[in-house]
Amino acid sequence: MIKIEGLQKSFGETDVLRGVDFEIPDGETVVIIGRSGGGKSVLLKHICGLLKPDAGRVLVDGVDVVPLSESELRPIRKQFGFLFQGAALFDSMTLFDNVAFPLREDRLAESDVEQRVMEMLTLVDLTKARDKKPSELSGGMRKRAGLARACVAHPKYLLYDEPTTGLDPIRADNINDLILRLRDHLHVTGVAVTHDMKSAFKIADRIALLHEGRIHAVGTPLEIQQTTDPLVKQFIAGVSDLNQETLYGATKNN
Amino acid sequence: MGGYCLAQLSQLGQLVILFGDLIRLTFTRRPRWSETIEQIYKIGWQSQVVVLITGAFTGMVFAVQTYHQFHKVKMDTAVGPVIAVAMARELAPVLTALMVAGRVGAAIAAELGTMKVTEQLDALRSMGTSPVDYLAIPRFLALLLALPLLTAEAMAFGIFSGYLVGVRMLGIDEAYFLTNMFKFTDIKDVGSGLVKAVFFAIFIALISCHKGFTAGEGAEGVGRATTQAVVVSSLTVLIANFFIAVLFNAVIPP
Repeated sequence: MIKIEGLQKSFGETDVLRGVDFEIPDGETVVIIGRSGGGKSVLLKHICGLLKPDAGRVLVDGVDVVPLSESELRPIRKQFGFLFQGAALFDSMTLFDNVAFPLREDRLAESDVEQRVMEMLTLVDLTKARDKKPSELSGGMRKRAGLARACVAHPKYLLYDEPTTGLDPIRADNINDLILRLRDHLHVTGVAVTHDMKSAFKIADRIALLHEGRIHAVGTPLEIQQTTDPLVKQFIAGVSDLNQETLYGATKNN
Repeated sequence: MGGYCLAQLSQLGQLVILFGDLIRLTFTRRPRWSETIEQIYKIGWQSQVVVLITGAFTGMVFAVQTYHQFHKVKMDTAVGPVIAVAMARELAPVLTALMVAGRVGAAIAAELGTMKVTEQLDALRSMGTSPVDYLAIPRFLALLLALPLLTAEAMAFGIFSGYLVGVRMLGIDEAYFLTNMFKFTDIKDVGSGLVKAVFFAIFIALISCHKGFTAGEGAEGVGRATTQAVVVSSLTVLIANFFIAVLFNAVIPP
């Protein structure tokens, strides 16, 4: 289980997180929604210790990761898979070597590496592209390769940073299905940040709205859809503040 | 002003910490042979042309200029030892280091900086691999091995081309040229040049890796990191050269 308590982080003068309290139970996929630049990715990076908070705690299975050094974090990070926004594939390596990287770092025998990498590449439908470099792949292929690399070492937790952003609706749904399959077959606990509401409703067991550095609302997809909270409603409907003002203005005039 | 000094001091502190990590991880983690050999090829082997041309033409121009001065006082044969001592003690180590700082330092900072802004460094860390271990150590070791060897090559080519210009072009007596050269050039001169190269290798590796690891956002950040890596490495080589020379002269009088 992941538990976040009073997490605060600022970059220079900007307060990005202002006290986030949040729990992710094992086996669930939680989606964090919120505005672009609202600190969603920052929150995600705190969970596996890639960023250090100014205050607060992040408990992974009861262990606070905040005070740990890089070398102490190693065994904890081995339990995580991280899908980065731009996939963050190593561009000096082929796709196969990218996916094999975490296994080779664990010094697995090359025959096992081959077998597990091909298993993952089959899952994400990229077996034909195994010898291509990331620069030769499309955005969607890179995302899927990133997902394969994140999952290949069978992590307990998977963190997804905008898994469907920049993909066409069909490819996006493809990624959503993969995330669901991982949850159901490998019992992976997932945390995804996104502003793709369609994806959020499909993959989430629970949805949380991050607003002005705090968790504003949490609920199941159904609860979120039926909410009366104006902020959540605005976010789901995708109405800008400007539109709302004109909307309200129009109502007043009527 | 106070802020500027503080920033500079903090940079220096970060460099010292990086150096500590480099040394510690070099001895505690398993060696990464394939990455190190690849870097030796890129840093050492591929820098040879640049370094050889630099050494050869420096030796040649040195022969021409010193000949005209010594010729006035009928000491033509002093050209040999002057070229040999100057190449060995100062010109070969400093010019080689400057060329390598420009060629290799820039490449290291640009590569690591790009990895930073595309989240590849975060991806490494998220998989429990230290970027210092995986990226900095192979480059550090490669420079440590390559720079003294490149310096030795520059010395040899500088002295040989100086000999060609002095004896074949300017007509200095070959026997006296060589006799005087061997008489006045000591193994200490060559040794001090090579030891300098070791120091310069440490500076270039540390500064370039640090600039890459701490690159700012986007293409602009990578560009700035690359420029700074070259400028700071080159200046450090020039300034450190003076102090190392003073120190050497105090410890081993020439």
